[in-house]
Amino acid sequence: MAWELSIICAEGTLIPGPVAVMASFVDLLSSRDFYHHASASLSIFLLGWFIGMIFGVVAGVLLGISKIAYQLGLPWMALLFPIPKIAFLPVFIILLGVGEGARIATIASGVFFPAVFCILQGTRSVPSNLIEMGTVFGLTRVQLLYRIVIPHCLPSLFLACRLTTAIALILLVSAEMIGANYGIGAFILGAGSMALMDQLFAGVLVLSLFGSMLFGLWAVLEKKVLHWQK
Amino acid sequence: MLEFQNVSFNYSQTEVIHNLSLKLVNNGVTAVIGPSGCGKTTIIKLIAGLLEPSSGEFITDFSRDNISYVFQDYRLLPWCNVYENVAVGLVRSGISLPEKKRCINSILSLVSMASYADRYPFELSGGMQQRVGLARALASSPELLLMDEPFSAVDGQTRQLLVQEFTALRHRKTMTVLLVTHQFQDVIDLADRVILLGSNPTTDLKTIDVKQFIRQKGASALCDEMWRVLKKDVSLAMQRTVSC
Repeated sequence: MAWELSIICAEGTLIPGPVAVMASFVDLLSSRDFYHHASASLSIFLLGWFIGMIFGVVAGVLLGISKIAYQLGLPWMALLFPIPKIAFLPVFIILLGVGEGARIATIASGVFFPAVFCILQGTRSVPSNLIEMGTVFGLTRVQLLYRIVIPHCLPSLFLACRLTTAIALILLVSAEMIGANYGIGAFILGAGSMALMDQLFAGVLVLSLFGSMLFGLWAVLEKKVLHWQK
Repeated sequence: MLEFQNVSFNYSQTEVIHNLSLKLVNNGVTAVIGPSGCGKTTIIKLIAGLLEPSSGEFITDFSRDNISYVFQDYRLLPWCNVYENVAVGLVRSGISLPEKKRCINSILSLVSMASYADRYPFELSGGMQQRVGLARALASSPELLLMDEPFSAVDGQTRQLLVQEFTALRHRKTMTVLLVTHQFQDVIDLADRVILLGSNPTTDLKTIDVKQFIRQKGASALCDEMWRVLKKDVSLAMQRTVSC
């Protein structure tokens, strides 16, 4: 209400009111072009996120269970983690060409590091008394890993999922704003450059709703999978 | 048979156990009692193979696969239900799935937990969790059962119930038991023999034949005798705790 009123008062502003944004949002959902943008973004998002998570989880477990891997890997992690991953995009464009590959790699690199640190923390916090119990009852190293270490890491995995989906979404839009013809990021950039502010806001609303849906999905899955927690 | 011959154990530079010699009676319950920090749990961990002695000989004819452990703090896997937790005790048994199922159901009935098979640890009381721990340890029908203060984390009434259940179980299953405790009542209720340990470093102060002692002088006299032997070391242990 306040937003709509302020837009009415500030005559001639480029910022659209919520009614115009909602109208544009409804138009967007009913246009074929939107699904073209959305499907391009979704495939890049999912691929980048999955690749980053798979490598991140494996690396996190390795760093957590192997002292050598920890000592060798951690300095590299500390060196690369603080770099904004969008800065890798030009490197990936040189390596993989101007296409989806570079954007997928950028998202994967952004997802990888938080996933590693979450899983590393989960692995290193496995209570030693449970490992001792498993050893007494004759569990092998592999059995200790999948019966004790990995289940103990599940809460950390869900934390990683929450963090990385948000990061992947940010990187998706950023990467699509650099040299992409299709995708939500490219759509938002195109709307902005043509001063179609209602469409720009509608695009942002789509991203926000998608992010919220993912958060909801993690919450439902977490409740289902971690039902053994108090 | 299980025997420690002049076993010593060091934690970094500190000698925790010094030249300890003790022997377990086959098919009997041997209790080990001593002041806090006297190395009781270290002894049990040495037998379980979790620690290696620094010197001395540890002779046993029990294979590692036939040794089982009941922990003071239960150590159940929170993500596994009661059935799955008991199944951990059968990991090395190599028995078929139907046989495993039959075995777990049977042991759960023995500890009165059959109707809780699909419950998770957070849904159980401390006493119930310890019953699951006991079932897990007994599932593989071990020849040697190590019990590390198994009743110290449960209330008095639950303890009484668990003692009764354990005594009934002992009549059904033949095994050698090493019970580490700091409760005189555990010794009276369960043990055939008690080894009294002194601390700093751990030494064998005295061994008493519990059943014979109780028959001749009574349970109260046994408590008095254990206290007489341990009093000095308990006071020293308390002083160490206070100065820490």
